[in-house]
Amino acid sequence: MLGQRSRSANVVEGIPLPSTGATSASARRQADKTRFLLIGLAIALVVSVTMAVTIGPVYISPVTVWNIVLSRLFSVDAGQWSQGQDNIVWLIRLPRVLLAGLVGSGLAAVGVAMQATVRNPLADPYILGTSSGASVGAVLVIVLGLNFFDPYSLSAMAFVGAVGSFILVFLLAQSSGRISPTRLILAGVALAYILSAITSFILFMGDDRDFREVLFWMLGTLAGAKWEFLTLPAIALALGVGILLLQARSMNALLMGDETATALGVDPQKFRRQLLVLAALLTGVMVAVSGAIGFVGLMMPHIVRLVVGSDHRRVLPASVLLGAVFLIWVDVGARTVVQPEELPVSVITALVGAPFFLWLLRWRKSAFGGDRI
Amino acid sequence: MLRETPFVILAILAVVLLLAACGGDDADSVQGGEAAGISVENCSTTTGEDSQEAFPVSSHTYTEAPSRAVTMNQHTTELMLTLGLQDRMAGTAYIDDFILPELKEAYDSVPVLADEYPSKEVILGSETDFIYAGFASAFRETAAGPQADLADLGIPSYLTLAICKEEADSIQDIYDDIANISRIFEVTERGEALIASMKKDIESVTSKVDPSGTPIRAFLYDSGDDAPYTSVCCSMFTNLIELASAKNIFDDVDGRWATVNWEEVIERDPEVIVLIEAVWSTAQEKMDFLTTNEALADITAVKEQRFVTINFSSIVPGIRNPEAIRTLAEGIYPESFR
Repeated sequence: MLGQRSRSANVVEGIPLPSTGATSASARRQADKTRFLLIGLAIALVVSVTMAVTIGPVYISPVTVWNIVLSRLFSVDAGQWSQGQDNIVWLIRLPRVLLAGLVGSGLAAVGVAMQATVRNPLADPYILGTSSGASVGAVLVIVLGLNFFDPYSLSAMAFVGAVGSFILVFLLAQSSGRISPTRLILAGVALAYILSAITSFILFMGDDRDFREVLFWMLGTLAGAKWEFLTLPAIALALGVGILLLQARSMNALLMGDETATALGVDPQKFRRQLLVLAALLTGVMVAVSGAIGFVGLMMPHIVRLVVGSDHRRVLPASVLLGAVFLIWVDVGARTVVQPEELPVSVITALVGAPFFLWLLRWRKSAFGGDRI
Repeated sequence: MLRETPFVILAILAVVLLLAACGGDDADSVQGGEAAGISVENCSTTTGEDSQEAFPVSSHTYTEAPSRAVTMNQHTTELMLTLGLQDRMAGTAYIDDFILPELKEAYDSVPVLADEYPSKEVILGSETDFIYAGFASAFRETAAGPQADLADLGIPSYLTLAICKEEADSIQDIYDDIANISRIFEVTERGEALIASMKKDIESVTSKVDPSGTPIRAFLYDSGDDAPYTSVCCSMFTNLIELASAKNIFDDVDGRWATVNWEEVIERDPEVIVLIEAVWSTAQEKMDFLTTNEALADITAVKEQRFVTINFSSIVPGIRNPEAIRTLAEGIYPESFR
């Protein structure tokens, strides 16, 4: 068939290469599939937001929920409900659902970017040690009570920690001004160990009761969502995803190897640096508002690639939309599974994600190098 | 479609931003206290973490008594129920072990919101107009949320005074809490009666114990095998054990609770060991651990088998403290109580 290459040349350590072939019947079918997927995901997103707002530990009828939203949006009087219900829907659920969408999109986008940057299918937003760095910031606030940026100290310190660790990894991974993906991963892993040790040290020095709170944060939670916390992530997401979409072709090139990329007109060193900065900032913002939510950044790109292939012009928008839908529903779980209490988000993403990943490994033999593994 | 996706995504984000802009504006705030009312001084926590430093003082004026109070933690629940306020309560949460039998009926008449801390949504769903919490952790994001946010929604909150201050916890904090709560709910006579009866109970114990001579050395063992978790200088336990004419061997360590080490315990050689009876660590388990451990065999308390068992909920600042002092005194000086 046109456009098909041998398996070993088509796969880079687990990520199928985007085809650069000319349009053909199969490519057109691919484009159609993608179109349907994107439209489907967009509709799923709207439906998810609408439905997720009606679900929570306190029962409020869906009609009442939508009435509350409408009346708050358009200042119309649409019926009777209590102040408590009004506050729950408008001040807790809606910001939370929207924040879940923003964070899910952001993490998925960074996941795509990181997998391209280091050409490794196991890459996720945290391989630069960003989550370990953010954890150090978090324990400094929770255990040692360092409140510099009250009342946003936890978010601010988490952001500082995340970006700070990225800078360290960036500097450590350089060798005569060049950064190789392998050095990056190694430096990231090593720094993550150091930062985790520091986090644990501070944790053990402090009150035993802080453990639960720190663990909760490290596993990620959207329980603190407020309207005022949406602006920064929304702007960061818009800018981040916008820039990535514009660079989608360059990301395709990067995936094919440094020499090929240069031949295609992309400076791999410079581009990698730009992607890393973008990834660090976007991850920092997301981690600051929601803690370290795992698996989304790792999983979404792979799921999407199964359907639309590896072209970043398709993978990016699809991952962004899928990430949003996924995290919205995971967060519904986080607030209802052990109601009336809260579960951290990563518990659910991992319980849903890991089995799926294993299934992928088992049944999709063409993925991840198939017969080579 | 592929070319238009960026614009679609940006459009969605623009909507979100718009919502964020208009959503953030309409926060209802607590009415300023110009109307005549009961002004109560308390403190507020911004981080939701217990700490030894003082929390910023805050005061709130209650124009009318709350009618749908939510109590978080056992000691606050028992305080309100002892004052007979169950019909002004809309919910309780986070019991440590068990409610006092005499309060059980009243307790059962109020909905239990959660076994531990309920989420914000559940708290708002109870339509509460007052939150009384025993620990700063009740105001974490995954629990009730920051006190400032609750205030914005018109829900004042009150934190146990013992947590607010930098100084060591003491019985006086409970009396002050009772005074404040009874003022807020306009049941001041009941409050005064409760304080009087607590003082009488304590007096009847302290009068039987002779404070002269070196105080007996006591060690509180909460949990932990490799390293024991104990109460230190500024916890309620230290005050209670002093009233029982004994001394906490770790009263020189800063904070309220701390993980120490067995070497220090051996060195300080307590004459009596107080074992916490709790769901997470029973007194029997701890006693077995102490008596079967070679390294600890020479500690006076272990040699003489002088152990006193007490419930965790009794040593938390609250209305059980007089009973705790009695339990401790009777355990340490059984001869005085024959």
